[in-house]
Amino acid sequence: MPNLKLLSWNMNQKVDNWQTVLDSGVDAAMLQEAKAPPEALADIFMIQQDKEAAENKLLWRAVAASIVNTDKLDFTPIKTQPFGGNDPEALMVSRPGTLDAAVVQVKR
Amino acid sequence: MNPIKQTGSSWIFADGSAHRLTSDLSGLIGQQNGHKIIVAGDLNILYGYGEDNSPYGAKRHSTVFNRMDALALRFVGPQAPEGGKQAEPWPKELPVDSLNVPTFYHSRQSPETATRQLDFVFASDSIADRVSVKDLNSVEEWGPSDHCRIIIEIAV
Repeated sequence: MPNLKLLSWNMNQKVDNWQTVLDSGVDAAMLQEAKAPPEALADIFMIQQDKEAAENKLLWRAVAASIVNTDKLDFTPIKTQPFGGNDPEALMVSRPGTLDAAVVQVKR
Repeated sequence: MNPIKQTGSSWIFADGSAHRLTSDLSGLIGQQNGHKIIVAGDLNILYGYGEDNSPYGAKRHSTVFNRMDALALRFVGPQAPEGGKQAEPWPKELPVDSLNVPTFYHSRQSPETATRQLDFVFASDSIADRVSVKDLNSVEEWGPSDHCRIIIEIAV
């Protein structure tokens, strides 16, 4: 079975850099200073649905992303919530946008 | 982060933010050993030394790595030689035995003259031996950001 390949990258808030993420040939990515993907690539990536981030209000946003339709892995974003939230399935993040997480399971 | 105004200080410090993230990460850990977690990103701190050789700064930065280690999250790179090219010329502030590889260049630098490693990868002890980390920090590979890309491969 081939290795699982991940990318970590501070994207410097450049929307065009989503194409570079795609071109990097990785299975999933851990991104920082990420704007929302451009419309042309929005359906290619699986990321946490976040209205505030989609409107680009979180300049320093961290994003866990995967390529949609990959047959190599299952990618499930973990919900986040502000400190004091009461959703037992969501990760408390003390400063929204600075941490993102996902469960990645390699398909056998 | 900055100290409050009353301190009269113009410091900018990042270890506080890194510790805040470490606290948040604890919510992903529900067992002492055996978890399988990869943590990666721009922590904006230094590994193994402090700014301008400051022992005080080095001590503060090291506490972040110590806390991650306490959570069974091992620092796995990138580090030379497999993890990328080291700074040339050698930065004055960097210890001579450091294995750090530059991941960031500031506004007066370029990929060719980058000096500091600000990006780090950690892996759970249970999988750390199966993880390799490579910094794409050559001029040709750097990419369109002030931080280079880091590739993490996990043998499954």
